[in-house]
Amino acid sequence: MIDQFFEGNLPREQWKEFSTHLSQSFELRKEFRKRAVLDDHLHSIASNVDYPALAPEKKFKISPIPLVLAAACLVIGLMIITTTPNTESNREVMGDKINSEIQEADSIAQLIDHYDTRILNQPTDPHEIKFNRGHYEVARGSIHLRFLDCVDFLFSGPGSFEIINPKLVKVTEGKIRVIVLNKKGHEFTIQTPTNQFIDWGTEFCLNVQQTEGDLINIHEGEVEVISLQDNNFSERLNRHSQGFQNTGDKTVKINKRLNNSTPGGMGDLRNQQIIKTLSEDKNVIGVYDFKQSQSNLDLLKKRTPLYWTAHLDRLVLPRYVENSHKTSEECSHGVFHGANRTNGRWEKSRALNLFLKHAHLSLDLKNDYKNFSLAIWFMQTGKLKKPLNNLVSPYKWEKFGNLSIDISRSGKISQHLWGETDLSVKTYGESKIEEGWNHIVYTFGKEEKEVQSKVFLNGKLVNEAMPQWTQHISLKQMLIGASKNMQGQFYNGLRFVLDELTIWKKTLTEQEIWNQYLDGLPIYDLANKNIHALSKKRNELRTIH
Amino acid sequence: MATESDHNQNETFLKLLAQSEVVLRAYLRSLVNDQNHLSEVLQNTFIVGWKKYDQFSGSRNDFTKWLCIIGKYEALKYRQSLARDRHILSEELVQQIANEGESDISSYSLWIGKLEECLKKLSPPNRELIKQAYSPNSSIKDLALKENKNANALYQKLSRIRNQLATCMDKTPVAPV
Repeated sequence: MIDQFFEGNLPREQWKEFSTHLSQSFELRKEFRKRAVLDDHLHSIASNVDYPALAPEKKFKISPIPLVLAAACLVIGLMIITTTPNTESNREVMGDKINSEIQEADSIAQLIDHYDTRILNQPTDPHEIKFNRGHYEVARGSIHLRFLDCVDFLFSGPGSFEIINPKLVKVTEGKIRVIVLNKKGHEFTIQTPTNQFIDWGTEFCLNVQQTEGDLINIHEGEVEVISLQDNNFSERLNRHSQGFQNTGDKTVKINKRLNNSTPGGMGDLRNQQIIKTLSEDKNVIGVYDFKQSQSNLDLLKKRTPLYWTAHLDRLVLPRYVENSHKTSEECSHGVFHGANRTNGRWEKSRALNLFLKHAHLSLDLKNDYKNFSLAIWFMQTGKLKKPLNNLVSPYKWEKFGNLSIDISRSGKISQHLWGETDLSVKTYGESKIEEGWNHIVYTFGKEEKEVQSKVFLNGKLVNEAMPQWTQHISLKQMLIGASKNMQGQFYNGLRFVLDELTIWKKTLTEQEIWNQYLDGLPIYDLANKNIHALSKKRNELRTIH
Repeated sequence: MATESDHNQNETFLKLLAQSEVVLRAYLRSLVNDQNHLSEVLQNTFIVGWKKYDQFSGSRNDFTKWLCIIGKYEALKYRQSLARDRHILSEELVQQIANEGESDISSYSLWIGKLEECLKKLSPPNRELIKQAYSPNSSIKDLALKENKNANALYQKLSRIRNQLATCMDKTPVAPV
C-alpha cells in the first residue's frame, strides 16, 4: 500500500486502513519515510535536477510550462473547430438504417477469429486489417467476421469476397457459414455469380464454386434463394427442405452434409497447433490435453505415477491422461480419480471434470527444478467449500521445494512453500477467479539474482514472493485438485474443470504468459452454442496491449 | 538598493539552500500526497525561509533542520487547504511523521547516500526504465505503448525495481552525503 500511495494509485476504499496501520506502527512510518526518499530521488534523477539547487529567480517564478501548454491547446482547439469538414454532409446516404450507424473511421466487420489466414494485398496479421467495403482475396485459411454485432460470417479460402455494405457480401469462390445473431441481421445477403441467398434467420452453410455452382445446407431458420439468371425464380428453404418446390434453380443444390467452419473451429485448429508446438518444445516436460490416449496401455503403465503403481491391475486406458510431449520423460503420465472427461475450451478439445469430493489428478515429476512453470485452464463448477482449497500440492508436505497453490473461498489464489514460514507475499489488485475459463500460471526462478515465486491469473501477476531458502521446486509426486491427509484420505473443496495442463523446466516471462492467455481465450461457448462474450474482450485486450 | 552585505547574505542563503535541498525534499515528500503538492510546499518553504533567514543563526546542519521545521508547518498549512478531500493523511498522522522525521534528519542524508550507491548497481536497462518512468509528464501507458509492452507488466516491473532499491538501501553501508 505504501507503494500505491506514492504512485498515486491507492484505492479510495483502502485509505482508512492505510492511515490506521501507519498511525499504529513506528516501523511502518519509518519505512514510509524511506520510501518518500526513494520516490523523490527517482523523480529528481529523471528530471536531471542538479544538486546544489535552483537559482532564486527560477525558483520563485511560476513555471511557464502550464501556461504555454494551455495557450497551445487553445490555439489547436480553435484550429480544429474552424477547419474540420462537416462529415455529416459528406457521408454517403444509403437510405439504409444500418449504414447510417457506421462512422467513417469504423470497420464494417469486426475480426473475431482466424486460422492460417493469408489475404493478398493486406497486412499479414489479420488483426491489422480494417474490414471495410472492398474486395478481399483469401489465398488460404479461414476467417470469422462479425457485421455490426448482428451477423457472423465465416469464410474459408481459397476464394474471394467483397463487402458491399453491412448486409451484402459478394462471393466469387469459397466456403461460407452465415449465422444471424439477432433480428437486426435479418436479410443479410450473400450474392454469388448466379444467385442471391437472403438469410431470414438463423444459420446456413454455402459453398460457392466457380464451375460447379452453389451448394447450400440450412441448419436453422429460413433462407430465400433468388436466381440472378432467372427473374421468376425465388424460393424460401429451411432445414427440412430436400429440394426446390418449383422448377428449381439449376445453379444451386442442397447438400445436407455440408458443414463448413464453425465458430470456435478456427480457435480449435489454432489450439491444436499450439499443443503441437508445446509437445516439441525442449523446455516443456509435460503437456496434457486430456484427450483419450492413443497409446498402448502397457506403454502408459511404464510411466504411471508412483502412488498408482500399487494399483496397476485396476488401471484401464481411459483412466490415464497421457503426457503428449514427444521426447521428454521427466513427467509421468497422469492418472485421475473421481473425475471424467468433458468438453474443453474448443470444439474438439477435451478437459477433465473433477466433480467428486475426493477427485484429483496424480502426476510425478522426475527431478527438482530451479526454473519451473506450470499453466492450466481452470473453470470452477461448484462452490469453494473450504477457506483454502488445494489446486496444486505434493503428496506429502515434507521438504524444501514443496509447493502448494490454493484458492480461497472468495476465489483468490495463494501460494505456499514448505519451510518458508516468513514468506512475504506481495499481492496485486483484487483479482479473483472469474466465471468461465481462467488461465492460472505459476513460475519459479531467479530474476536478477533473486529467486522469485509468482502466480498469474488471466495474464496478470496477482502475487509474488521472494523465498529465503527455497532454491528449487520439488513435486516428485504431485496432486492436482486435492491434497492428502495423514490418514491417506484425499480431500478437496474444489469442483472444477481442468483443461490443458503444461509444465516447463524454465521460468516463463510475463510476455509469454500474456500471449498464452490471449491465444487461449475461447471465443465460443460450447454449452450454449453462442459466441462467447470473451471474443469481444479478447479483441479489446489485443488492441490495448 | 541592495548593499554588499545583502548580496553576501543572498549568496550564503543560496549556498545553504543548495546543500539542504535534497534532504528537505526527501523529508517533505513523506508529508504530502504527491509531487505536485511537494512543489507547492517546497516553493512556500523557500519563500518563508528566505523571509526569516535573518532570524537564523547556526551551522549548516542546523540550517537543514531549521528549514525542515519551516517545511513541516508549510506542509501542514497546505494540508489544511486540502482538508475537504478525505483521501489525504490526517493532520495527526502528518504531525507524527513530521516529528519523527525531524528528530531523525540525519537519516535522510544516509538514505540518500545509500540510494545513490544502490542506483549504480541497477542494470542499465532498469536505470533507463526508471528515468523514463519518472520523467516529468510521463505516463506508464504511453511508455508501454512506445516500448510495445504490456502496461500492467511495466507497472509490476517498476514496483520490483523499487523494492529492489529499498532492500538494497537496508543492506548497503555507505558514508552519508
